[in-house]
Amino acid sequence: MEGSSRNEVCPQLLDLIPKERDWPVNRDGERRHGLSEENKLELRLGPPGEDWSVIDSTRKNQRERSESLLSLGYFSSVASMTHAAAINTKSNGSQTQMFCSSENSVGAVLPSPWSSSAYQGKKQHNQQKANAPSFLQLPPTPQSMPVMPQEASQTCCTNVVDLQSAEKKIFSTSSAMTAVPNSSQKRTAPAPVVGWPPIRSFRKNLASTSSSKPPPESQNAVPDKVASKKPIETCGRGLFVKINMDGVPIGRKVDLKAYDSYEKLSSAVDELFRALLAAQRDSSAGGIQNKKEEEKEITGLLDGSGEYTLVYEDNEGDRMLVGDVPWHMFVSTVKRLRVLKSSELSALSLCSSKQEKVLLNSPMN
Amino acid sequence: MSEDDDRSPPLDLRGADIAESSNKTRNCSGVSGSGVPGPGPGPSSMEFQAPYPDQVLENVLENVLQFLSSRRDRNAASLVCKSWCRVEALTRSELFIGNCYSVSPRRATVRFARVRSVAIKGRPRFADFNLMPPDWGAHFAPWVAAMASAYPWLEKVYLKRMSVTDDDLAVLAESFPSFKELVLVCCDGFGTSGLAIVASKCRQLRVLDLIESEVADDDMDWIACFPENGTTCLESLIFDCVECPINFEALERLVARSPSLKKLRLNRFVSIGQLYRLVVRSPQLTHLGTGSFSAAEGPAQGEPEHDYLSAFAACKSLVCLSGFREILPDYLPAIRPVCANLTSLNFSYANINAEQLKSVVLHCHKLQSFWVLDSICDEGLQAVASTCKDLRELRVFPFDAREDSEGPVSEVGLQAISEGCRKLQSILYFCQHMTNAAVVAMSQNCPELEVFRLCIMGRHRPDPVTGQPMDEGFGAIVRNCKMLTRLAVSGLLTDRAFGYIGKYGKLVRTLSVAFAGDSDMGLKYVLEGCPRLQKLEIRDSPFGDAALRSGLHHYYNMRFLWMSSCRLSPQGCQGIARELPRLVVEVIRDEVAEHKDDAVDILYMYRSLEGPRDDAPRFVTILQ
Repeated sequence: MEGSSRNEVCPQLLDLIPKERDWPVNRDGERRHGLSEENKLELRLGPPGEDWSVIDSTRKNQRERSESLLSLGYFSSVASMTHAAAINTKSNGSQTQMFCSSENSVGAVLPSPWSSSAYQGKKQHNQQKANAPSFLQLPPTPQSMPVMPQEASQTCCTNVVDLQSAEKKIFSTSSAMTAVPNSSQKRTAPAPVVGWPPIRSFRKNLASTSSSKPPPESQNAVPDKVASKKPIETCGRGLFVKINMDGVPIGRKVDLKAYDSYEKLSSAVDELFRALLAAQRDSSAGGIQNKKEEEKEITGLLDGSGEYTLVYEDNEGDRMLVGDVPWHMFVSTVKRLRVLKSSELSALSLCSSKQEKVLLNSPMN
Repeated sequence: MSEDDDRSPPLDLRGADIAESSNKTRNCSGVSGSGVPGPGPGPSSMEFQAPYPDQVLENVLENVLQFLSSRRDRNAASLVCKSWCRVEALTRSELFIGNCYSVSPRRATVRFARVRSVAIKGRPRFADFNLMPPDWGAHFAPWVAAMASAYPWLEKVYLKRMSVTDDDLAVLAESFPSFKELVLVCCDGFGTSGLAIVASKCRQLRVLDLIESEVADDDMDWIACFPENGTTCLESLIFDCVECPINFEALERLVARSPSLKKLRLNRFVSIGQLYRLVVRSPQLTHLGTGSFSAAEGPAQGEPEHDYLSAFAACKSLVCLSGFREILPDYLPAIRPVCANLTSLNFSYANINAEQLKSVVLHCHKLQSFWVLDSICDEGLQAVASTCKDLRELRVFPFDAREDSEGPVSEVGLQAISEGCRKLQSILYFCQHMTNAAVVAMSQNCPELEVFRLCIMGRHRPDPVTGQPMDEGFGAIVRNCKMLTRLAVSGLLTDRAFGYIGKYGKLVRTLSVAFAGDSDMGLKYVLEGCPRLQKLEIRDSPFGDAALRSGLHHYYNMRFLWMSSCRLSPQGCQGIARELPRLVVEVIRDEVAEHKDDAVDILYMYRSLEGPRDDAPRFVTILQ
């Protein structure tokens, strides 16, 4: 194996990857993690010009090795992106340098998006024990991994972007996760398992929410914390959107997949809110009327003829009348629904077609 | 005093007593007070009668039992005889339901007539980790409906892992005029609309605590819904898990008119500048969640640099600090003045390193509870060990929760903690590397451990130094920590580890197992050896039907058993269901995961007085 010319750490490192493919099944007691050996190996990587050094006296061709290791590191880290944790591309501004944005060598790009920004502290203290960063847990077989060219620093981040969104999808459907196919990777981390490690999901997103100054290129990557509000939830096969009605404090959710036309949606809205509306009327009238106030049917939602009208907000944040676009187009762009009093509508200029969109500034509630 | 009721009361009561005695589940339903006849035929023959001798005793008992607060004591008292059962039921004011499906709301409200405070737990814990499809159940709705008519004087509701809708909150707000405390832990199904209703309608509200719950953003300004006029009775407002912005001006006004406010935990949408404004208004706070603890985002508003240090220095009563959701470590020194008094510090969202931690924790001599991220590394833990001699609870969470991530904390940190914090009672520790030696050391150094939860994130990982399984470490824990009641194991474990647990873990009530064991024997050891076992959750371990059968004698004493991705077959589970009719045996299909047709994905079983529930979703099959 290639590790013969390197220090004693390498056999352990080499052992890990091929066996990790069978990790769940193969309880190979021979695996060693060589913690003590790893501690002796203090390996730090970073952009040139910084005080980062590779301390390993037995190594020759350090530079070449570190570059190839870094390129390997990138791909293995890419593979392990599919794990449950959201990945830190936005990091705590004061702590981490965002290497993705640097235009320098390959070494600059790779380590920090995936190593915790907290390790900054460690890197300055050589006395501290350092566990080998995760991306070094690879056999140094450059021939099996493409060496990254300089301009790949951009593709790094794009791949990160794809993985982020893939991850987010994986997370929200809570399905068993499989490694994101990446044709260029030859070795993968163990296939991630649902619910392991046992951390609740709000603790897993630490990395993506723990920044105060997101670097520019990651704006379209990880949905930032404001966008963590999810107006649309796909609970299994349904498409649930919120619907609020004027005068009713409790909003509801409707599953748009359950309907295939505006008429069905309209009658569903009527059913949903009829009773609530009657209750509201009753309570606002001070309850002096009999408790069983007649429930008035809510009609004319779509054509403006009724007391209420159905509007929706689309994915661009604009408010539109429901009913103008074909149903399937509506379903794909709708983000939430509102039932407004028709009397208030005339005061606002609602547009009925996308071409003449006017943003409504009416207060939300 | 303890003679059976049947002998003494007058004849016309005997009918009621016989009806009671046939009720095998000790449901002392309907008969209230002493000497009053129960429901059923015979009231026409009732005339005034002199109180019989036992009635006096029952009155005395009622007065005495008022003072009994522990529910375990009360459960024991209720088993003495029918009279005690009846009186205990009358005097129980705090009702605890450990599994919402073990008893129906109706049965509970009929037996306990004068309850003021209710605690209900729902989903199994492993559902938190996406091991089960959502919408499994645990609905609050039937409970709140039953309580609305049975307990109009209800004051407190505590829910854990329940599905609560906005409608449920509306019913709650409408039905209980004296309502004072709402605590929702790990709940979901509701949104800011529901909070708005509670805020506006519950005029006596003292406590509104949302802990690790999922709150939907309905665009509702719930903070502004608290009554605007006069002072509020608010003592505790905890909303750090609410993932949507709040109306800060309204919050500021609310805090200003809540003179009794002691606990305030803000969410991450509150910047440090806003925090300042709140802290200076309420120096009487004892518990503070600091929100984001960094500057507001967006266009630089040129926030004046506040004197955070003085603001915190004025908080003489602060004992519990948390938050730090997006911490800017530059601000960390501001909390220095309160460190000396802190008994609880939660840095589990703060990505800080060892140096930054040390600047704070070296002053925290009184610390008893400490939650932190592993970003502080072993060095940070060493600092904690050297300073916090009174530490009782430690939780170390992983910043990067992946199996193959770098592990900044290891056996070194654990060893240091065990040597420095001898009074440790509870530990939750996530790491990548752990040795048996360190675990053994902790078992010897910390004899008061009651909760030991070690999560070695790499599955099946042996001791890196010796190459051995982690059996000996966990064995030492159960052997040496005589007060151990909760245990979570990980790493490479053989049946031997379970043998130790069965042999020594006599007080263990909760056991969590993942990716461990070799054969059925492992589970057998535990089921046969641990008489106090109540909650057992197992995943991905090679235990099969034979092992399951070995617990038949014990399942009625348990709250639940969860086994997922083990080696159970439908026939095996069916056998259990047939032999134990009072056990609800749910087989849950994980629709998304691939599985062999004949294997059981998830088995979740629990004792119940009600039989199969009627709100089971389609992916749940209840075997009978």
